[in-house]
Amino acid sequence: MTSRSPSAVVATAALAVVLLAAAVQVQAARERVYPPAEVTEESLVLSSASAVRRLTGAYNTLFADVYWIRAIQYYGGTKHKIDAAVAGQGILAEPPASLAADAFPVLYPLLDITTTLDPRFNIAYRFGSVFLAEPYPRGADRPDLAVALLEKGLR
Amino acid sequence: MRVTAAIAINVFRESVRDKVFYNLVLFALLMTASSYLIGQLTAGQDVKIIKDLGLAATSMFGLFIAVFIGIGLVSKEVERRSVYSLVAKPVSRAQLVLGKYCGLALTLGANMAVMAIALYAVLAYSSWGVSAQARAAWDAPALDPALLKAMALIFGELMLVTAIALFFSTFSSPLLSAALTVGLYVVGHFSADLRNFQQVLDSPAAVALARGLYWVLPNLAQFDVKSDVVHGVHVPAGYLAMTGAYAALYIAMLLSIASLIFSRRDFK
Repeated sequence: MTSRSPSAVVATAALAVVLLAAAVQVQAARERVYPPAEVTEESLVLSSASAVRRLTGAYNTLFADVYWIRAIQYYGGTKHKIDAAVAGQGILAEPPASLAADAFPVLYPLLDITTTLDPRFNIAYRFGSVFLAEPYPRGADRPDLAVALLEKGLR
Repeated sequence: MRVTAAIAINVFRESVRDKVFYNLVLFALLMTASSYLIGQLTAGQDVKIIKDLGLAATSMFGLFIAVFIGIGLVSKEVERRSVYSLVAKPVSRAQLVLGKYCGLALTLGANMAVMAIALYAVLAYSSWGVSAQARAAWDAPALDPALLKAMALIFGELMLVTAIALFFSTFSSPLLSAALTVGLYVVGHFSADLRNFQQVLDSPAAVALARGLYWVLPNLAQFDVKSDVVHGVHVPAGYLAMTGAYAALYIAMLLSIASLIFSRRDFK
């Protein structure tokens, strides 16, 4: 059966809109009853830079960009969280000491993967070492890792 | 010659009718959306990332076209039995194979030309009004003509992949051809490891075998100068010429075997 009348098109479009809206409503209801788990911790599934290099094959530099964006977003996001925690305690409060030990645990691995995938990514060495070397709470307070990253860049 | 050209033009027409060029719409959308998004996500390196993304997308979209149309070039004619009317005409089977190949080459060339224009347009847009100070931090200018070198080598690589797909499609089923072509594509990008096998193997015979495979398998990694071009590293013309000559010889080898196999096939 073929139907080419405009009313059939309109009816089908209306039906599709109703069905899509119903699906969205059911999903929203499900999320209210069974809330999805919140992803709070930034984690790195693949921590071996050379493994990532193998997996990405001919598209190394594109994935270097992806890891660079992740590193920037991770640095900015964590710093935002620390700032918010400080602001919550009053103007003169110290940043929470609980975070100080290792505030940016995956920052160095992210930068390491970025620079292994694209060894000529100068900005990643330059900005990355600043993020690593800055004392807490502005950075990771890991000058040793910053030096390691810069030395990797010199090779 | 005229016969080959006629077949090639018909392959091009067929790909237009099969809506192959719709991938350009996707490419344009991807580039426009990313040029906006990347500017929001990163600090000052958006031109580099857009170049990376544009070149990677060009090669990936082209790969899909080369593989999925390449495998059907000959086998589809056989399956649809339209090959009967073709072989009944004064067309040699070698001309048929060559014409099919040139047709897909034409399609890929037209496709890549539009992609190159789109990439330059997006780069022009995202480097618009950037201060000279910010430009100084770039490894290469935004509208770098060297990008065309990377594009040319991607085109050479796609031509080689097309020849591989066409070669398989003369004797194998489309699904198997696709798997084999993609397999060779992956192997071709990692074949440099075969060259250095003596570092992990002791047996001289195994090392010799790996070395032999390294020289015989298509070396696709040499077509990848995306990283050099994006970082402003000079790619010499001699490199382009020698890589192009390698591609031409390898393609000629594959096409001659393909037409031999195809001419020996008996259509019942």
